[in-house]
Amino acid sequence: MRSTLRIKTRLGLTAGIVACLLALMASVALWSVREVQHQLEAGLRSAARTAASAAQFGRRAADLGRQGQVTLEAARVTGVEKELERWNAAYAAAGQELAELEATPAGAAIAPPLRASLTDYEKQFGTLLTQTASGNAVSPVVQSSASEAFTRLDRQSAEAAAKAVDQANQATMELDVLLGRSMLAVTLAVAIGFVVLAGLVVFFVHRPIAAEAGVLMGVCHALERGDLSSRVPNPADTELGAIGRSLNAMLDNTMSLVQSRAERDQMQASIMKLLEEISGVAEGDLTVQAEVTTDVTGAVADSFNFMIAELRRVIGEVQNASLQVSNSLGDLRSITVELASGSEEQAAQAVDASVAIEEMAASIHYVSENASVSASVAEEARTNAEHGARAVTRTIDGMKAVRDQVQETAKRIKRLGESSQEIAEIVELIGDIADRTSILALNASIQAAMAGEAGRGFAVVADEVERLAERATEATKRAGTLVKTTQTETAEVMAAMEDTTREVINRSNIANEAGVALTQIQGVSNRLAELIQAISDAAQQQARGSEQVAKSMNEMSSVTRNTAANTKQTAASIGSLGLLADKLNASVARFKLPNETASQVSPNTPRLVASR
Amino acid sequence: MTMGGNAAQDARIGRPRREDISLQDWCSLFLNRCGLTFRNAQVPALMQLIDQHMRARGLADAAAYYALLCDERDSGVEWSELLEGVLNHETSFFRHQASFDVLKNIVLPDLLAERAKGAFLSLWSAGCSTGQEAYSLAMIAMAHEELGGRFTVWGSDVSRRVIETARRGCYGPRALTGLAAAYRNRFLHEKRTETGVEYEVVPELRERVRFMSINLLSAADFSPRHDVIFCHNVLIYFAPEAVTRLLNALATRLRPGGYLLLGPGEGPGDHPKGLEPIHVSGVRGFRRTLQTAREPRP
Repeated sequence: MRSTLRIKTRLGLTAGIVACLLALMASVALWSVREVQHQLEAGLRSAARTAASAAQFGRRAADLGRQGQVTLEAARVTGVEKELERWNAAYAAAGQELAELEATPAGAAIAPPLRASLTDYEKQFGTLLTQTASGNAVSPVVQSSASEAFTRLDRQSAEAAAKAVDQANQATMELDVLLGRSMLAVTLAVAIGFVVLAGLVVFFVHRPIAAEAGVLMGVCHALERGDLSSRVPNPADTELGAIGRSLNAMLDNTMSLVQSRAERDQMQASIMKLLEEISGVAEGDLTVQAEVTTDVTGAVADSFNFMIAELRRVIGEVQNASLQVSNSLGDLRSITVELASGSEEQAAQAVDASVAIEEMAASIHYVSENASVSASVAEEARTNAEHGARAVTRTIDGMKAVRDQVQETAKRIKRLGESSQEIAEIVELIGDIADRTSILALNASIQAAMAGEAGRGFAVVADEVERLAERATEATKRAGTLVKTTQTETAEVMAAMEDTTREVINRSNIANEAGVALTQIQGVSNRLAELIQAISDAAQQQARGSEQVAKSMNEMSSVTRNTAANTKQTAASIGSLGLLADKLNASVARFKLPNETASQVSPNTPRLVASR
Repeated sequence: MTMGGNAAQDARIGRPRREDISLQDWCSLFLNRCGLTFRNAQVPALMQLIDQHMRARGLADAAAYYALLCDERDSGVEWSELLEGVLNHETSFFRHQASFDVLKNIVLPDLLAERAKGAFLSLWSAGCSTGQEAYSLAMIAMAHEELGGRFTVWGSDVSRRVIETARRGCYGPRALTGLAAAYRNRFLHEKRTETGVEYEVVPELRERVRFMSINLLSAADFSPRHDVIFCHNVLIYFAPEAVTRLLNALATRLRPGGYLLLGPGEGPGDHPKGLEPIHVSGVRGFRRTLQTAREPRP
């Protein structure tokens, strides 16, 4: 049987079927076991119920018998109604129990004789009771037949109970046997199911795979034997089929590669020759030349020669270029190193210069501040000089006023002197008058003396007048002296006033000179203030300029520092570039070139390592 | 207590709030601590410098950095670092030759005549930067035969970095500009190093010069008194009020009859208390009056 199912699918399907079958078998077995168990339980329960009913009936029959005795006894002694009622109840209970026994399947077989006996006993007991209750002598026949009927009932009920127990035991045994059989049947069914499953697996899974593997192995064995023509026939669309197809393709390829022995040998020989010719290249010898033959390696040799020629040219160029790079780098490096140290030096100088200029700026700023202070001091001096000049002017004015005042006073004093002169003349006149008065008084006193007693009173008056005249003369003399003194003093004052006036005029002149000097000072102060202001302005301008220079210097020094750092970086880059060039040189140096192509690069080419 | 210290304390007390640290605050900080002032042109560089240091410290806002600086002593690490960035260390041997000539020809002879025979002179290069000025003073003193080597030169600068350089006393070829050959041959020793030539101050001279890192504003605390104080190209970086403070402080450090030599054009309009100007063209100098010297010491 050929199947196109893949192994994977096949295994999957088989597993599915097996699982289904197993599930089916398990459920069937479970069902049968449970069925058997149910039957068993029902049988056992029925047998037990029959046995129990039979036993219960036995007990009820005994109760009936005992109640019958009591009822009979009561009938003989007292009344029968109450006991008879109890007897009837016991009879009904026995009847009911018997009905239950009849209801069981097994009880139906044993119940009829019991029913008959019970009915018989009831009949006999009724007869006996009637006789006993009538108070007549009970016929022994009746008594014995009643007793017999009860005994029969009792015996039969005991037998029925024993029989029911026997039946129950027998049912149990039968059911045990039945259960054992069912288990055996289930086990057998499961075993058969497994056998069927194994068969299925073998049929669906193992057989087709084994068949395909067998084909593959056959081909492989053929290959082992050297038979390259063996192929896998019609490979299926399965995994092993795919292997078969690959094997077929591989074999086809291999077949196409296989050449005839002679052809192969010849080719090998010419290849060996070619290899020998060009083996020098592996050691870097680019001077080799392969012989161009007519066979198939000829073309290879031709290509090889062309390639070597190109390689020679390229390597030669590389060697030249790297040599030149090395040389240029050497120069460049020394230049850069010089430049870097120069830049560093320059940066250091710029820093020094910027610090110095910074200090200069501070100094100029300080001078400028001081100049500002000086300018204000000069201004103050100028103001003071101005004040001074004004004060001097005021002084001169004051002096002028004094001079005028003095001259006015002198005039007045002079007038005073003139007035004194007039006073002196008046005093003189008064003196004359007094003198004349005195003479007149003398004459009058003489006249009075001549008149005698009559002139005595007149003489007193004349004396008085004389005394007055004397006093007037005296006063006039004093006045004259005073006037003379006044005149002298006035003359002195006049002279002093004249001196003062001269002095005042002199002082005024000096003050004038001071005024002029102060005005000059004012002028000089003004000039000074202007000059200092100019200095201050200039210093401020310088300060601004030096700030600017300081700033520029700072910027320059930072730029220079950067430059120095960059130059260093460049030097380092050149160094590493040099290393690369050296490496390149070393790597192409092992190639051997014909002499005219390139000069050999010296292995001692100076290495470029940036010193900093 | 120094003026700088007091001012710094004031700055700590009146510290501005975090949000508003202005240029004014930064300038006040520098002014109070060191007396430094800045020109308008320097402001962008200053702010950039502050920013750099702030970032280097890992701080995001200027206020936090400002607070950090305020919390530090004047000699604190962060403050010193920041200060290094604003200082100008320009100097050279015998810079402003006229001042050195005055020292050699007027000051030293005068002091030798004034002081008792065999007196030991003390010279101070205040703001010595990398030490060339101090060594120049020492060279002149050393070469002065009458002095006979009885002197000490002190060099001070607020920057610790330059003081290290000064103590080492090694200079490159460019630093030698302006140094007379006679001095160079006598006091410098040529030394070849990996990077080139260096000139090292000879031990004989170097051991006569002592260097220290101090803030000039705290100079009043600096105990020795000096016969000569050389303070060149320092005042130009100071605010006017700081100049007055500094000069008064320096004046107290002068022995009676001692000289204060400033850079050309430096110094105040009116001379400091107890100092009288000396009149030499091209040199700005003062002498401490001798009258003070004759007053009994307390």
